[in-house]
Amino acid sequence: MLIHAHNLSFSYAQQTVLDDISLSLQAGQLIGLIGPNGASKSTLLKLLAGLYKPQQGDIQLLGKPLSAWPARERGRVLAWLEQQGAIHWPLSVERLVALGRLPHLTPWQTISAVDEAAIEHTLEATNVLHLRKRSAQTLSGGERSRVLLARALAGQPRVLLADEPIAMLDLAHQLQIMQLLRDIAQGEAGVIVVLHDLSLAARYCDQLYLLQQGRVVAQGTPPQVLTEALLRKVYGVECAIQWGHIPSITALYPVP
Amino acid sequence: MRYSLLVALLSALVLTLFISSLMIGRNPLPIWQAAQASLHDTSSIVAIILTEIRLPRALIGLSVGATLGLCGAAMQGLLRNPLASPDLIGSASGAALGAIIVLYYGWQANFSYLLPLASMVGALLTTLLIFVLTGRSAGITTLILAGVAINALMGAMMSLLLNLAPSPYAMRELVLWTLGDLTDRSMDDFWLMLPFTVLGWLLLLGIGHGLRALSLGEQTASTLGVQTLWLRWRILLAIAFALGAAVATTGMIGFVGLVVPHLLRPLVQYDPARLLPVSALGGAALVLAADIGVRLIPSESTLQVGVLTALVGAPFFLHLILRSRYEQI
Amino acid sequence: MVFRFSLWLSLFLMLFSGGSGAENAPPQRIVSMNLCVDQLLILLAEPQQIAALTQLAHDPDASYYYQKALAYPTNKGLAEEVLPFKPDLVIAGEYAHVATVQLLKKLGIPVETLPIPNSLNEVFNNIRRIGELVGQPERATTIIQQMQQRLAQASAPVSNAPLVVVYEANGYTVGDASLRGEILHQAGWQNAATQLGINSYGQIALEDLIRLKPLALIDSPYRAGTYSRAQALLAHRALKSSAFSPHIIQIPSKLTICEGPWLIDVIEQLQAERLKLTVGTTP
Repeated sequence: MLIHAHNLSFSYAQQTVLDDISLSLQAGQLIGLIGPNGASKSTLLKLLAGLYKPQQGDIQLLGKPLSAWPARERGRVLAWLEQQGAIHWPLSVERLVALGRLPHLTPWQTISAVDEAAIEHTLEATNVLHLRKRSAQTLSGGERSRVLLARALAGQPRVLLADEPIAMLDLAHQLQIMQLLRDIAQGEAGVIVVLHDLSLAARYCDQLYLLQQGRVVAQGTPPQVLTEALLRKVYGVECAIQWGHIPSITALYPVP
Repeated sequence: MRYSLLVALLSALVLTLFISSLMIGRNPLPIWQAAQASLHDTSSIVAIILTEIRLPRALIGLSVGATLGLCGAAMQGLLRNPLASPDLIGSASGAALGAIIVLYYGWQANFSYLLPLASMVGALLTTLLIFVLTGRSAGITTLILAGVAINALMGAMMSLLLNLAPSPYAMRELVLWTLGDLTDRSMDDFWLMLPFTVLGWLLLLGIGHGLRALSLGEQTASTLGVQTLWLRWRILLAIAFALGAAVATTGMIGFVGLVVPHLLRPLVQYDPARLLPVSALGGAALVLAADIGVRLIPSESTLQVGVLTALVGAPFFLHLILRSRYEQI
Repeated sequence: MVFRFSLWLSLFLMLFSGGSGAENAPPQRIVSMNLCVDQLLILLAEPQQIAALTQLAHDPDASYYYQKALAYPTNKGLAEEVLPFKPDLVIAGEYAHVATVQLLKKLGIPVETLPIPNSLNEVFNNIRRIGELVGQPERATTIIQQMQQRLAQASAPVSNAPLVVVYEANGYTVGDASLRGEILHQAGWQNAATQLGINSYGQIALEDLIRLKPLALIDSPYRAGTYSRAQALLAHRALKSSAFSPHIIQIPSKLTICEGPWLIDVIEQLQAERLKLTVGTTP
């Protein structure tokens, strides 16, 4: 068990944001968090990343309470990919991706051959090798998303928490990144990804958690969660769902 | 440019300027003979001029410049904002106010360490105030506006306190605090500032990875294992210690903390960690050069060193604002 | 109300009468607008002739006749403060505010200005001038004669006069063409500032001071015990180094700010310090 979260509740400014949520991530699993805007998917991810502390419930990372992990050690096993993450200085792509290795370095250590190899591998896997010398602030939206994902992967984490990593991408890159996440979620590692594209969620994820207003409305395999009735209830949209080799979901807007 | 080459070049520049600073004064000083004299016979006139007048001036210029560059680079890294610097956001004027309270009202006559200490408290409180006012990721406009307000307030308080000070010379010394001055500082002043300066510098050791991680934002940095709150406090305290000691000794030498990191940043490929040591060297070079400049410019009375740094820095600052406007919109 | 009316009436009358009519009678309501005029008035005038002194006359550091001055009201040198004293003579310093002096003259009040003396002769002139203005010329003559006698006794030609320099806050000093410059000479010292080309007044850099290596520094601190960078200069380590460490002669500022008979005391003190410091060395 990579992550086991139990009965999480979180409120902010006296407003309950997450209410009694339980979630577990196994090694080799790709979990999708779906739900309408404002469902607190990102907040849940931040809780799992240790950025916020839940008021109730507990989170175990590799069998140890998340809060008991020393920050740098935690950084080595868990990576969080911010939604539209910031890049504050025009660092080169190479240097930016190398930041992912920071949890592996003591304050005075510089990048070693092992780190170099990991960076190289990640640059290649995310298809940004050709950009390595480019300034990270001059990238297109798609390139930028891939570079930031590469940063998160450079630390070779066991758990990747990715917040809408494909939001800015074109169709080809969306498929490419989802395939990459699928490939990562193998063996020792697992991924939790926040998604809006339900077809891609259906196609790539092992498990889906459907959230609405801070509660888990449904949980299970894609066919269990993505039902026309549930989507009608949660999104207020009439949908047609076809399960095939490539599942597809067509949204039909309700006739007034 | 290779990093080690850059460090070597800047070090050579600082060394050259340091020696030039020792050579420049009211009268030519045969520096080699003076140095030998100061080793063998400390009572010779050239030795006194070298070791008690020119050496403290050069040493103070060096360490104050290094502090200004370092603090500027650390603050810009922390706030991820190229326009942040301790003098623009008001830390330095807070420090100056603290020094004025202690110096002109005779508090420091009994306990000389009170002067740098008061300056530190001033720097700490103003910086803290700015951090609280502007929040965690301060936008450029908020930061500058807050700085304008703090600087105006501190300037008014400085003026008021100097006006009310019992010394008949106090009011005329406002300019020493607002523009900075290195004239006739002694080794006593240098020894007084040194421990606090070094303490401030030491606090900044090993923050490189933290600043690097902050390039990705505060939250990502903390998932990378950076204790961002501790990092903030460390930089805050470092600025309070080193900048407080510097301002207590020389007054506010403006724009060094802004200009130096900004000029050097591209040369270290925008790496906020490597920027720290080179900014320290660059700051030292700039202040030493400006202090040589004010001694070379023929003027009736002594010219403040901050006049030269502001003449270089202010147009540069305007240029930065203009550029950031194009980038933001 | 009555007071105010009479004030305006008197102003009105003054405007049209062109000042007090009796030119020969000594003035009875003198207002001073300068610290040094204060001192000379107390020295020469009858107490009832003095209507008001300056505020600085009540500053024990600046005013030689501080105790006596406490008996009189003061002003800060503004026209609106001076007028209520209904002065029949206002005496200002050389650098009084031009606008104030013009305004007072326009209102028909006679205003005299006293120059800053740059030599003992000019000091005698000032004493004589004030004596005449207040109608006490004999008193002035007596005082001048006494001063000249004491001076003749005190000063004697000195060969090998030792170097001295006046060193004040911010390094301000005087040259030979100044009153204090002459006093140094009268006391048998040689003014080191002249070697730097300083003629009357100027600033001396710390490095130059050390190169000159004077035997003594004259410190005459105004408001000692207050603090500023300017005043801290005298505590600079370089001045205390073993090779240099000049003797520091302290003279209270109230003796050096203004001219008067006490200047002879200063000369005598400087003489005595010189003799003490050069004892044992060849004359």
